[in-house]
Amino acid sequence: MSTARALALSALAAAVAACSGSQNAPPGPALRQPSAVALFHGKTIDAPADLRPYLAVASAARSEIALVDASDGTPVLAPIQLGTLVVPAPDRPAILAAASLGDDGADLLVVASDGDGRVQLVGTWTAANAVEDAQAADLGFDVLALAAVPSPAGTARVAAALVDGGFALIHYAREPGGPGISLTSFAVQALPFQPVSLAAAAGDGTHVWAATRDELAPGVQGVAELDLSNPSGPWPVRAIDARGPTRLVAAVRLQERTDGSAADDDAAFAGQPTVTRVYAVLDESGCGSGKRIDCGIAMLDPAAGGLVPDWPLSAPAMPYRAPLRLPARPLALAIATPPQRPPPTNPPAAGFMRLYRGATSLVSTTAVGAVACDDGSVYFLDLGRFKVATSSSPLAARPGGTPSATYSDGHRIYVRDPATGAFPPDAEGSKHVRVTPGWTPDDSWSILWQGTLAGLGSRAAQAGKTGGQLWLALQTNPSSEVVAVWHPAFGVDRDPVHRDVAVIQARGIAGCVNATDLSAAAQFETRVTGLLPPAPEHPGGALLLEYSAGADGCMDGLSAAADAGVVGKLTATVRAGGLVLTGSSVGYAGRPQLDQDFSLAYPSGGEDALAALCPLADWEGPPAAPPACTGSCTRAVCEQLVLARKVRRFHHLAETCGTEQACIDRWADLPAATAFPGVNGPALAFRLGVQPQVAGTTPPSTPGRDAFLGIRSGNSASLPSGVSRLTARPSAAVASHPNGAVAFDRSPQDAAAGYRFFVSYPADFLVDTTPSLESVEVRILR
Amino acid sequence: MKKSLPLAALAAVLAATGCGEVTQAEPGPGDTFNYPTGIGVAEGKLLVASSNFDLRYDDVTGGSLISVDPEAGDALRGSLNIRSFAGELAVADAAACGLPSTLALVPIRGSNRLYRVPVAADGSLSCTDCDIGISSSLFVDPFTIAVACAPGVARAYVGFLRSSLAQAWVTEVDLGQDPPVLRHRVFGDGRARDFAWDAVRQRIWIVGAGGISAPLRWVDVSGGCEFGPTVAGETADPALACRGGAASSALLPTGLELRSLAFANDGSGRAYVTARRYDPAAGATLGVGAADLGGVLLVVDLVEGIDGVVRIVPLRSMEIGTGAAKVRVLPARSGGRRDVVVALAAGEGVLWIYDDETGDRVHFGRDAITGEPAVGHSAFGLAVDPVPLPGNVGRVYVGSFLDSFVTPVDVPLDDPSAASIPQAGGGHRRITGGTP
Repeated sequence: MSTARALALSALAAAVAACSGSQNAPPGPALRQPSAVALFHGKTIDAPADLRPYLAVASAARSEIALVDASDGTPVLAPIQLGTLVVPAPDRPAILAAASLGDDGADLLVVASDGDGRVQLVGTWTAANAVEDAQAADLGFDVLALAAVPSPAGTARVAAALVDGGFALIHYAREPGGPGISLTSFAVQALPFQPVSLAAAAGDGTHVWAATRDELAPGVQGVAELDLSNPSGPWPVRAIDARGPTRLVAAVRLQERTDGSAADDDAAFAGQPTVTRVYAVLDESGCGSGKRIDCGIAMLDPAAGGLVPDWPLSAPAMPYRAPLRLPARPLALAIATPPQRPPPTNPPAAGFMRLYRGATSLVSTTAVGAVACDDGSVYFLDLGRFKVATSSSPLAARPGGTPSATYSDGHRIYVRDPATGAFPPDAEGSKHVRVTPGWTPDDSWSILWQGTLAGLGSRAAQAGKTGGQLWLALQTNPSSEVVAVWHPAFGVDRDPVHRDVAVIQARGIAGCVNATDLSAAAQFETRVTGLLPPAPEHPGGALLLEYSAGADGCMDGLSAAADAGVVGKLTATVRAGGLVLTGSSVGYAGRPQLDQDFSLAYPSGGEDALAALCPLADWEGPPAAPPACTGSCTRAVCEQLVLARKVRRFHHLAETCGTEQACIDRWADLPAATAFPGVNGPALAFRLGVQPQVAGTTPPSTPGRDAFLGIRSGNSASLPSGVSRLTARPSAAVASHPNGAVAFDRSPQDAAAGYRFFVSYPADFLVDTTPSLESVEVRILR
Repeated sequence: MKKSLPLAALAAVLAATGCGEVTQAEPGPGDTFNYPTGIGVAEGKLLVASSNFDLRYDDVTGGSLISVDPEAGDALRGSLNIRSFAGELAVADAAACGLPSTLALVPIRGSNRLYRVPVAADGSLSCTDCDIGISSSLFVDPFTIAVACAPGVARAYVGFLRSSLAQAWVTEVDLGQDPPVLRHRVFGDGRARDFAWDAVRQRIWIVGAGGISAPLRWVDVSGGCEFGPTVAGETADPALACRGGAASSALLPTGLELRSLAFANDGSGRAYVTARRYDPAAGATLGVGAADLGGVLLVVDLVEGIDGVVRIVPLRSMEIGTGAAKVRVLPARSGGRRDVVVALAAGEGVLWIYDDETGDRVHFGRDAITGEPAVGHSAFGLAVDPVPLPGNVGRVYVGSFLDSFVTPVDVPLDDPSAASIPQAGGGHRRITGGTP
């Protein structure tokens, strides 16, 4: 095609497009590996004379910052409007922070790059929007995190977490008589811990909170509070105990609902004071069902210097308020407060913000959090009600609990009606499995007769003798694959009626062969009669084995071999002697007894009293020696503690049944002393028996090995908690590893749009979402 | 419009003129690198295996193993033609492995060979029947290699690019025997992308085998156990087989594909891992090859929990860019200081240097103006001289596959932030081969 002809066709196409009124879609922000997002008010080439809200989005792969108009999500275009305006930022920009100077001028915007100790100022007060090289604060250590700190009018401060345990406070000020901002000073202080995330609360210019994985004081892990009262330092540090290490932090001042209120509107907050709350994501290395606190987002009260007390305050169950638990790992956290202008429809009371729970149910609250997680979803938090926002009421349906078992040899394990002792029809079995909203977690439960104890199936083992007693250690050798059977988490030897069973596979033991396959290992079993504490030859402890000479050829052979030294290359499985309850998530969950009530419940006295009695539960295993466990430290106490930690409260209800009779009937089996929303009750409770397949026949007193009863809901493999989390999930094919989040009040520009959250994703896009509309809105900017 | 000159005719014309000076029957050059894939350091000499990737030279003799002395003006110390399509390169040090001589080990994909080339103290190379076959009907294309040496242990481990069931096969080569005994073991889905040797616990670690759910596998090779049967696919004798396991990655974020592993010098169980981020949901739909969302360098502790299972406990995660590739540890520092670590993000051509003592890191990325990566295009191959240079300077080598050169990087072990690429001729020093 000739050039002239091509030009002619191009002109024709342009003319047709113009006549039809169609336009090319404006270019998006063209992000490349976004790594951070911040919001500032400033000037750009779009509106060189006006201060407007913009998003700054760091594109790591292109070493630049893209600017997006926060009021409508459109990118700021370059002077030649074929692409977006970008601000070059050297060496992979990774962290952004913005702060108002509290005057009528442009906001501060700073950027730090990967592996760089400089915090660079970005010009927001002119449409040039350049990185101001001369205004860089070279802090000397790589920057890990930044946070804006509220400051006097005309100034701004940015706190920085530095590698090698450093903290810096950088001061900026409006240039005299001008719109510009300049760096005025900075100071660095060494800390005895490594901060990894920082937060400050609006209205509090004297405190910064730092998340850290390090111990802050002997036995204290959580969040460090730095007192910035002295502008140039030193800044005293106070430890706030979160019962575990933390890795992400945010803070806000808000009202929290009153004790016992389940109101959906502002009545829930009547008369409540405004308090400062610090929200810290617990680091997974130090939280969970085997640790002092569950994983999730811990709620801290800086005034009290620790975790917020459990709720309801009038009838607390736990020594602290349960962390906000999410199904994925939080990677970014932002908090929105009530917008300046209420939405035109269904407005909340002044000073409140609306949060939709499904399309028709609406609540008013005082602060909403958005948590971007590694599954790509954004989960919302109703911080005023210290709960994960839900899309429906957990009381709207009973979360399953349907028992399921099949007959074998004419009998099965099944639930009994605890009142009458009778076996109910299968269709009514779920009525006799008690669950409690907020306490019964998502899990799949199994109850087996002589089932394998969780984690103790087909393990490498060694056998030996101490003082003439035959022992079995689950280990390849004393320094490899050592199972700490001495730890109470495994629940070995905890059945008061039936002794546990050790099933051993061995080769080459004299007089012990596999009768059906001579080349295979022989298998034999014996009862466990007790536990031996850790010793050099079995640093995780050992099982004492029942042995009677002449009763079993394999045991005779094993005993004889053990006389000569430690016998290795064994494989062993530890089975319960009777029934054992196991959750697919929580693992070992106790030993129900036939025809007795069983309740897996958080203890009424809380877990700390038990923890004080049983330091053994916090043993990390070899090579560390276990804490002593004598006197009041009994195996029974340790078992209670281990189980208590597995069934902590995980969700705070904010609902009641009200006058809805169906709901009241649905939960009629909850203890009379407890009431919604502050309900306390067992995670799981039931009574079991051996049911004959043919009524009137007599079943055996005990079922066969591995007789199974599952507790689940319908066809689901798990027992759902009934907590349906309100979620924003980008529809993009690649939506994971979000890495930045910021809140924005769009109401001044568009009252209906309400408050928004912007979340950056490395797959080249940004999400604009809000739970303030009837359905969670998710817009993708790319 | 004129009719275009057919490409075949163009090729014929070019072949008949100046472009025909190299034919496919010629061996590869013995003094210059040509699509290098494997880099190692032995006796202070830089060893580079070139792949002849474009088959510009003879298939059988087009590849090369070249030894140069970077401290003597890149003097050529040894050269050997090998088959085309070399993979990685590993060095079995004579003293550490108890061998008569230091060996350079180079797997060759395509022809499925393994070269075991003696390296003399002066860097010269020799080869008499030094290659062996290394494949089976179940797996081909050996590529990844590492050496595991300890008193009484001298072994190499080879990973393969392809297998009949997309499984991760690993072959153990007993270097202490001649001909070496080969034993084979499969580790589930995936492929062995890297190995790391834990000399303290005598465990060989395999990265990438076991798929997403168990990305770090280990085998305890102590006590005279057998890594696997000598015939691939046969059932191992459980009484003799080495025990193995997988590290739990439950504490890692989802959507991380581990790429490389290196252990700390102090034997504590501290380790450094590179990983590529991908979307787990998209990965489930599209396969593991979902988009690269950027790479990370992880600092982790590998510790056994109370259940006897090794856990990957992440301590720090650092962005490194797309194409997360090898990670290696520089020689130990004095005073009990933690390691200096180098990691490569091949997609973006960035070399990171991380100081685990201070947490600081520096990088060599792209030129701000030209966009040229400092370590060349398609950075491939990363090696560390186990012996520091005078002045306690660690020497790192980074290969550039497309540019056919190796970039030396000097890392002062007492101040890694002062790492630099030596200058030559007004620019970065680049080793393109040996000076005869």
